Order: sequence, then structure tokens, then C-alpha cells
Amino acid sequence: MKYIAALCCIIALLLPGCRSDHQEVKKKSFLQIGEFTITRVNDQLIRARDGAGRTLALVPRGAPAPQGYAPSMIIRTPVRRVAAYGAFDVATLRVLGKIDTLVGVTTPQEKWFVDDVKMGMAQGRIVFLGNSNAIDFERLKQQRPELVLTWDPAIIPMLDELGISCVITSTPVAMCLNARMAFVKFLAPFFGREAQAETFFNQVSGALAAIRERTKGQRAKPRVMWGDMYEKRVLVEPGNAWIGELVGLVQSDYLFEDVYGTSCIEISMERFLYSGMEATIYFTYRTPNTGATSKAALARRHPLMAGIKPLGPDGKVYAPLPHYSQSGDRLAEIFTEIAAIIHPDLYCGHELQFFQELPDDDLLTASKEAQ
Amino acid sequence: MDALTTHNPGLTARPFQRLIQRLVQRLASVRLGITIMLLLAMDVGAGYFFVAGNTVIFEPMNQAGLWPWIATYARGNLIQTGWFIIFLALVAALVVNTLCCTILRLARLWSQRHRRASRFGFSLATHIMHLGMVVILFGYLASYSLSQVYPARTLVPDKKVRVPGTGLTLALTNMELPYYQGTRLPATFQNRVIRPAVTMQVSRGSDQRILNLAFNRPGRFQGYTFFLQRFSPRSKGGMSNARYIVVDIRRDPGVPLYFAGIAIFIAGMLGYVWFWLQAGRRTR
Repeated sequence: MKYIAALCCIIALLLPGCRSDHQEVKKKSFLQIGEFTITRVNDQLIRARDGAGRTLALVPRGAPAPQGYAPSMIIRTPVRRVAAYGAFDVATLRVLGKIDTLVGVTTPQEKWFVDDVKMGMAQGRIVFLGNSNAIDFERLKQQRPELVLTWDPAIIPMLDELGISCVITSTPVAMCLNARMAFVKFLAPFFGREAQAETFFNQVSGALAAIRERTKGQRAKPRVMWGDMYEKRVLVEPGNAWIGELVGLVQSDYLFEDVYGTSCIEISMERFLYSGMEATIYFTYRTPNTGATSKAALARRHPLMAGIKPLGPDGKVYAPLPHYSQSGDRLAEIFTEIAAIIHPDLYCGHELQFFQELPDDDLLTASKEAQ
Repeated sequence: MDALTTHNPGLTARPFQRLIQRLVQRLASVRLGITIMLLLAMDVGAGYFFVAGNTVIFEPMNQAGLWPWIATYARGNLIQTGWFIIFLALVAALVVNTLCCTILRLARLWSQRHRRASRFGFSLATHIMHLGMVVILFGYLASYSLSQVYPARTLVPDKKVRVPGTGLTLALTNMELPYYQGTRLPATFQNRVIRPAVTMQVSRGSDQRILNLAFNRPGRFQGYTFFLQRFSPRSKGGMSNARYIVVDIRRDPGVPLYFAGIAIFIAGMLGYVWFWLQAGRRTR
């Protein structure tokens, strides 16, 4: 017993020892958002760790460049010109009130639903840089971006050669709910917009708290699955992804909770079909534009899928509307809508804005459209 | 106590030294050692549950190093990392216990080497093994405290990449990504790359070398170690067809200590077996 007490004393002595070695680290000088981090070293330097694990130096304009960083790893803040691959990155720029910095995207004009981007493209301020797997680097160079937000590490060596900095905004492991909500805090120091990021985060946190309060104590637990079967593979959202966490938070069972890894992770067809036997609500990745027009249409695309319960008369299938993926700046509304889909009795009168419930067959869709 | 006093009779004269002596004896206690090991087992058992699903907290220790990691990730996630801080303290206590015990026993052994010559080599071997373990643990401390890490260097074919601060230039010269076509693994592994093999040219000044990398098969060049972290494409017909690899580069001063510790441990173990066989022969 006396040895245990002595050991406790040693531990108690060691802990503050560790702390005193790093007294210079002020409170809140370190922020972790999933795999992303922000470390405020001093007024002249912020270290940002991106989704690929690279450490970038954020330095105010005019301040001396820190030692030990390649030129393309030093980013002068606030950033004035940005090219973005992902719709979520663009939505984050909107949250930060910095959509005016956007000069290049990898989605053509006709596929955008965000007015600011459509207008920017019409004016020629924002240009289509080519598909994400075939970027026109000449055009990118002409746009003179100071920063590229991308999920594709393969372009890093090319961007280094062009002297353009880059941030990888995706991670090998899917973003958890907190990381999804707080991602805006990671990009905020690049633009000096920390206050806006905090406001957005608080707003989404508030919405989440309201959802938890409303769904608290629900006995009926709908069983939810999120993913899709494609020609050669089956992709789902893992349990560690924000979707899996959110579904669990609103008193329902996420059937891929035990699956861990990257967003859109591949699983076996057998597992998908097995979970499908238990599910009551199914969210597909496909939009109505990519074939998710009705349960029958999904079953036609993949006949094996016809056997899953949500595609039957007692189940429900929801497809994201085309603008859903570009609505990352409306996270609070998206969370609420998912909660409303899972517990419709708690959200009477909620009108769907981001998802569409699929009818049994296309005839129903056609007749609805005719009406 | 006996060993120290018999060896240095003058020590007993001063109260401060007597205090130190008593403290060393207490720290060298076998009971303390067993208590620490039981606590370690309990702590690591608890750690198993805290690590699961929280790799994003622990993984950066490899890049940031131990002390910066404690000051940032560990401090920010004390509930998940508390067990690890306790683990470090317990390991430190175990090292102190082992060192004190070994020093006292070796001193006693040395003083009795003529009286108990038959036991001398046998006991010495076990203490050498203990010292080997301590050296290995110091190697880990050196690795996680003093390593220079240059993380996440992306290489694509036909492009040279310089690593600032090292003088190294890297070039990806070949990628072999065979798609799995076997039947031993579940069907989901079909057409996935399980065993990537890449060839990389590393140069520094006029010196250059070709390194073959694979998972758990790093390459070494002028004190730097190159680890293959990620690669693409990972499967046939996957979402991304971009061809690239991501490597981490480390300069790790702990490696010589690991090898030294392993060598000491093996020497102790061989000595133990040798003296055990000798003792057996004498008995017969």
C-alpha cells in the first residue's frame, strides 16, 4: 500500500514537471480539429497541420519568414486568392465571409448552386480549372492563387514547382462530428477570421444541443444506413464519420457503427445487404440527377439491392438533393433535417430542403411533377 | 545497504548520505518493482480502451515528439491520454527501481565475488539483462525526444522533391502496385493493392542511393530513415487514379541505443545460459 502511495506522489510530482517545461504554451494556443491542428507559436507565426500531416507556417504579411520551411510551406496571411477543389471548402469560405478570395474551382459553372460562385464565374473572376483529376495548371497559374485547398496530395509537387502553397483539407480517417463542425476554425487563421469561425461553431453547437434535447428519451430507435452499391463496389459512411455520430446522437442505431476508416469506405456487398435487412431508413449517395429517382429505380440499377428493407413498402429511402453537397455553410439546418427524417413525429411540419424521400416507383414521381 | 556500507564505510558517517542510502534501498525493493509492474499492467489495460478510436490523438506523437505532444495533444485530451502520462511515470519508476536494484546487487556481488565465485557469473548475467532493458527504454526516450521528423513528403513519378533543412533530394523512380487476385482473403480485397513496392532515389551532395520501400520495410541513407506511409491508387478502378506515394523521413538518435540495449540483453542472456550449464555440470 505504501508503495502505491509513494508512486502516486511520484506521478503527482512528475505531472506538473511536464507542465512547467512548457509554460510558454499559453492556454488555447493549441487547437485540435480531428487530424488538423493550429498552434499559435507567437504573434508572427502560427503552425497549421493539414490533413496530410504537413506542417505549414502562417505568417502575417511583412513579417520575417521562419527558418526550416520550404517557400511553398509558408503562407502569408490573410490569404487573398484561393483555388478550391471541394464544395465544402467553398462553403467554409462563405462562412468566413471570404468567398471573394475564390479564384478557381474544379466544378463547372452549370453544376454550381451557390449564387456567389455562379456570379463570380459569370464575371470571369472565378474560373473552372478543369476536373479534379485533370487540372489545367496553365489556367491555375494565370489565376495566381496564393493557396490551393485540395484533397489530392498528388498535385503538391507540381504546386511546389509553381510556388503555390497548398492545404490538404481531407483526412485519411473520416472527420468526426466535432471536426466537421470545427473545420471552419482550422481555415479561419488563414484569413484572420477567427471570430466568424467561432460564431459559426457556436451556432451549429446550439443547433446540435437543441436536436439532442428534442430527441432525448426517444424509445423507438430507427435503424439507419448510409451508403450505396455501385457496379463494382459498395461504399458506406463509417461509424466514425460525422454522419454515423450524428445518427447515434439523435437516438437511433447507425448500422455501420462498427465500420472505421475513411469517408466513403468500401465494405463487402454481403455486409451491406445484411445490414439492409435490419434498416428502416436508408440514405443513398446518389442524387435524383444520378439515378436516385425512386426505390424502383435503385432496385433496377442493382437488383440485389431490392432485397433490403428500406426499399420495401415499410422502409424509407432518402436521396440528397444536388445542392446538398454545396451547403456546408448550413450545417445546423442539415443536422436538423437529418434529425427530422429520423424522428418525423418530433419535427411535425418540417419541410425537406436538402434531401428527398424517394417514392416507390417513377410513375409516382412523374404524376407528382405533372400535378 | 550492506554492499554500499561494506564498500564505502565512510558513507555511514554522514546523515545525508545515510538518508540517500536508505532511499536507494527503498527504491531498489523487489516489492516495489512488482507493484509497479502490476500497476503498469492495469494502466496499459485501461489504455487499450482509450486508444481505440482515438488514434488521431496518439499518432502525432511520432511526428511531434514526446514533450511537444504532451504539451499539446495530451494536455488537450487528458481523459484519453491520462493513462499514457501515468504509463510514462510508471516506466520511469520502473527504470529507477531496476537501476537502484541492479547497482546495489552488483556492488554486493562484487564485494562477495571471492566467497561466492560459483554464483558470481550467474547473477551478473541477470543484472546485465536488466541493464540491457534500461538501455532500450532510454533508446525510446531518445527517439521520442530528440528525433528530427520530416513528415508527409509527397512524391510523384518524374518529379524531384527537396527536403528543406536536410540537403536531401528525393525522386520516385518506380512504383509496383500489384492488385490482389488471390482467394485467401475476403472478396473485398480483390483488386486492392496489399503489398506496394516502390523505388526511390535519394541524394545528398554527390552521394546518392536507390532505396526500395514497402510497408514496414523502411530504407536508410546517411542516418535518415524513410518510411512509406501512403500510396495511390489503392485499388483498381478506385476513386482516384493519381499515382503518388507519401513518405515520412526521420533522423532517430535512439536507434543505436536500441541496438546497444539488444546486444547487452543478448550478452546477458547468453551468459545466463552459459553459467546455468556450468552449474549443471558441477552438480552432476
